[in-house]
Amino acid sequence: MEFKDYYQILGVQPGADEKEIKAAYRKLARKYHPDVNSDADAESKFKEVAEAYKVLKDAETRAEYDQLRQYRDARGGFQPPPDWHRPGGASGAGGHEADFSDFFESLFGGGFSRRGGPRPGRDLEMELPLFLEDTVADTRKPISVHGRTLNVNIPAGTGDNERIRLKGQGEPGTDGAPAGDLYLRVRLVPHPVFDVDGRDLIVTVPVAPWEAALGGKLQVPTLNGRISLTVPAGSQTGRRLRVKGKGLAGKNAQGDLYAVVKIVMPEHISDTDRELWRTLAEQSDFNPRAGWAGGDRSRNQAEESGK
Amino acid sequence: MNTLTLTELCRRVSLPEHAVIEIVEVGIIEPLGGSSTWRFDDRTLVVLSRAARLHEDLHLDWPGVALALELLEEIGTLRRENEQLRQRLNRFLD
Repeated sequence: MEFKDYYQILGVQPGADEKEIKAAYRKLARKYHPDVNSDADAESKFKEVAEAYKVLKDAETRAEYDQLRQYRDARGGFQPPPDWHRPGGASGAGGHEADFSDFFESLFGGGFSRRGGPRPGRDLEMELPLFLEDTVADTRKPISVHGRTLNVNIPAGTGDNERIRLKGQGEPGTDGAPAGDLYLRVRLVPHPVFDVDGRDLIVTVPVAPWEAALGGKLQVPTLNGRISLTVPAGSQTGRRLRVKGKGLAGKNAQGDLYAVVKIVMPEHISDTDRELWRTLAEQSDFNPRAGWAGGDRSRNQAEESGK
Repeated sequence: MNTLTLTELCRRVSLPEHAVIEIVEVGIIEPLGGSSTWRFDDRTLVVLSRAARLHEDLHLDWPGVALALELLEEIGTLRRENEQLRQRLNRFLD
């Protein structure tokens, strides 16, 4: 069995007093508490810290632990003495009814057993990643809880951060008490093409400079097929074109799709293209920096360096 | 929507009545309106369980839990918003 060095886990010396142990626990609990820290390993770290504190905060269990520490071997292994049995037993009901390590259970298991009598199971919460495409129509998704697979109904229009409640699918109760509920917190998975703003969808539409200048009809993707979109002549980068009702489905109203214009320069241009641009540069009196003091000068410099 | 009485709520989260009354007083959860006796939306359970864990595990008093929950909610919203804006910005920079 692996020996758990509770002093090391809390980052205190074996001679630390009660106050130091409490302070160390509070600091680490704030850092790793799974309601505060969403990192994947936060919960297991918190459980370790809570277990260490549970043993060390109580003078009696701490004395027993200190006594047992001498039985650990140099390689970090541990075998309790054959005649070891816990004399007393502090009761401990925590906010987090933690599952303790084998090390803890073998040494303190009996005394720390949970409160007697029927206890309803805890409500659990877990994240449910959803693709935008999954929200268009009612759908079913398999999810895995406690080694079982549940098929969950996802109603059309389910949005980011919404909760789906699965009654009685949380932690099982003890002695016939009811199980808790399972709450699924929906997380919309980032999409390669669309961004989400509430119920609205945003699609960035790359356009050539001449398309932006002259306007035109373009094919734009939506969640259910392509549509034809008119880009007005003289469109700037960042111009938002609204396509009504092509956003995410909603419980009450359908969101809209916003096509955002992004003017893109060609990476390579032919000699012919270059001549066309040059003609435009010579004939156009457009100066995008006219608002700057000395704007004309910087425009001339740009022309100079281009020659 | 299912609703719960104060007694049912206390039993579900293993908290004494006086604690739940204080939790309501500091605004962590709110009873439903329109009734002379308290009834709670069953969505309250998730918030209340979370509050109970923070209270017990982090040794926070209830006003402290209320503040922590508010700030955690706000951080979550800002993180999601930041992620979304970053993604939108990257589409223009790519």
